[in-house]
Amino acid sequence: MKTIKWPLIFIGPCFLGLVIFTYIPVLMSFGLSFSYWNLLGAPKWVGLENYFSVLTDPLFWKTLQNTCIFAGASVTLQVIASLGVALLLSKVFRGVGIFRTLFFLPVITPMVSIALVWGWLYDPQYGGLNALLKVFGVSPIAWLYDPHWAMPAIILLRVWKEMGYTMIILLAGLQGIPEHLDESAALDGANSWQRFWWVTLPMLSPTLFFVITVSLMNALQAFDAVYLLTEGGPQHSTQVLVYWLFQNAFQFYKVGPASAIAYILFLLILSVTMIQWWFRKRWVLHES
Amino acid sequence: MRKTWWSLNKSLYLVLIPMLVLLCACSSQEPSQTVTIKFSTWGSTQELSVVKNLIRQFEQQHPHIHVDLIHIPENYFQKLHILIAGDLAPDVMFVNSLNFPIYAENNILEPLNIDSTQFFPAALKAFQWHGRLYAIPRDVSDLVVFYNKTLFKRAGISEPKSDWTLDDMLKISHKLTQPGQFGFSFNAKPPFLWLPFVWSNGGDIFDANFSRFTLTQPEAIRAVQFYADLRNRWHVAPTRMEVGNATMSQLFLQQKLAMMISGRWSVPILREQAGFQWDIVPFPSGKAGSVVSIDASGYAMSHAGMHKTESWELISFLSSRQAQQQLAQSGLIVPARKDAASLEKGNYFLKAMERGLPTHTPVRWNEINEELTLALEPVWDGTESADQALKTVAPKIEKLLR
Repeated sequence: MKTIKWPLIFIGPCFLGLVIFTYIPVLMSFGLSFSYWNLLGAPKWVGLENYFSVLTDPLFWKTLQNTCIFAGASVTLQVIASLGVALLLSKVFRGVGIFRTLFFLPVITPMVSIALVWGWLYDPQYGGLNALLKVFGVSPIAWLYDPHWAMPAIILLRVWKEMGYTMIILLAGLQGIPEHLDESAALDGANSWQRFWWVTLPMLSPTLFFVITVSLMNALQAFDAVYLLTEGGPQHSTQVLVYWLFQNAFQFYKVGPASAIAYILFLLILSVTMIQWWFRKRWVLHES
Repeated sequence: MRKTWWSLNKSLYLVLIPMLVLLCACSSQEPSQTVTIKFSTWGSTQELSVVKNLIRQFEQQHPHIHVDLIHIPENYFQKLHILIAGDLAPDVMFVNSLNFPIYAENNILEPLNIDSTQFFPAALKAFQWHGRLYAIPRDVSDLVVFYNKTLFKRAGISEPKSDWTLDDMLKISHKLTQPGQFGFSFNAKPPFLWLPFVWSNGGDIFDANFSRFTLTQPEAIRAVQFYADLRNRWHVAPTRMEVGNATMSQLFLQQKLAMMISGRWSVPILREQAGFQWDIVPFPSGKAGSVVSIDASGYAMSHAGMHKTESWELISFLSSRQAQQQLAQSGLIVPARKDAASLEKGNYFLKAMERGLPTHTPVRWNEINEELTLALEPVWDGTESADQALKTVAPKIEKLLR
């Protein structure tokens, strides 16, 4: 009894905040996903109608597809790019700290300032990106205004911003690999590619598993870049689930469907993570 | 040894007791002489300084009322909606004619009465909902055409007259279009920037009681197509690619646009920054004349408010001739009161109001706006005809009208 008192007193306030601002809203939105509510009157019970209307809306399937493409592409690129950078920066050389800082900088920069700058980079008339492409003879691209290019543009921005975070974790993972493994493989005559493939990568697999799982969870909940740069357009080409949820709740004041979308997204993330958890035995070292 | 809950620790009481004392002190409040009312508004810093000044005058005249100003510069209605949902509706809310219907419909706003002879009828009509008035209009935003006199002179074209037609506009636009310069502005959204083409051509977006979507009628379709053609067929207005992130005002200031549709709010910045001569002219006439939208802003009162008498005092003060004149003098607004408007000759903002239509919207306007914007995107880009796009989206919008 005595041992638990002080921990409770110290954890209490923080836990109370979590209950009030997270757990209660989560439970309430579960109830609201079965209701009609425009935020002004009292919620009305409508049963499964919200789930039905969301799942039968063609826009839902388009949005789901976009979300999966966005998450799949951005996480793949992000992990590959940050692994490359982490391998380069795991060596000790003069100025390595500066490079690590530079690659990490976008992570701590607010999304709003990034969106403002990238919005101008992507500008079809005066943008830096088109100016650069012009040097190589590429004709101007409308980027955020073109339904084919808007999604790649958002993915590129995401990879650039999130790469630093994955890089730092992979860097820590790389430094945890005992050097003698690499050295003995070299003595056995393995070239650098073989050493990477048979020594570094397996030893890094627990870190990679963590990084992929967490990045995928985050990418499936992406919102800010879409909200700031494209508003889901043009022609719904960048419409993702959380942006649609936001529109329903705060633009159309349809809290019921918005809550239903939230729970559908929760089930999606849960199942994606479960699948990853089951398959980890196949490729993550020390897990079988 | 068992301890009871109150034997926590002596030092903890040192924290808890003062907190309790403070809590009691807060709830007992000051003597009930002064009443605090909350007033929410949007607006630029320039506008806000005038509003703050007005509130100061009001508080001097009414020492027992204190006004708590809530300034929400961006996403105003989103924030207001959340405040209302949380039972924190401000006593006096600044609203506009586009967004008030949902609040009138859901009994959030108190029906009001005022001497209607002092106001422009269109401004009052903009805040009517099922026959009752839900806000006292402060100003109206109607649209006119701004034009660059210097560019007209350089091209040797005579300036547009107040009775010019859409055909005249197109002819002039052709003459003023050359590499790096366009004759006319193009705004895809909000719809109120292109609806004047529809209204002036005799069409409309909804019928009188919002039961039908009428942009599918021939006059409306022709007008929407005409507008899209300005950009895609005749290329006298810039395409999306040519505009990029720039706004029409920026292009106009850079002299890349000879004519631009805009409202009163553009005047101060043009006075300040334009390095050329400019003037305004009414929107060009179509078959049905020159008809633009009148988007009114005004003061509404919370139905659930605790201090309705004091709230009404504030609304009456802010709607008075004196208050509206102070705002009008800043050059930011066209006042909704006749006696606050300067009725000098050639005030096209006031002229437009005589013929303009109040922008009434159905309750689910936000969703309709989303569908409409999406459906018209390919029309504005020239990849689909207005006829096809509007007829495809019509059933969806009809459903939102119920």
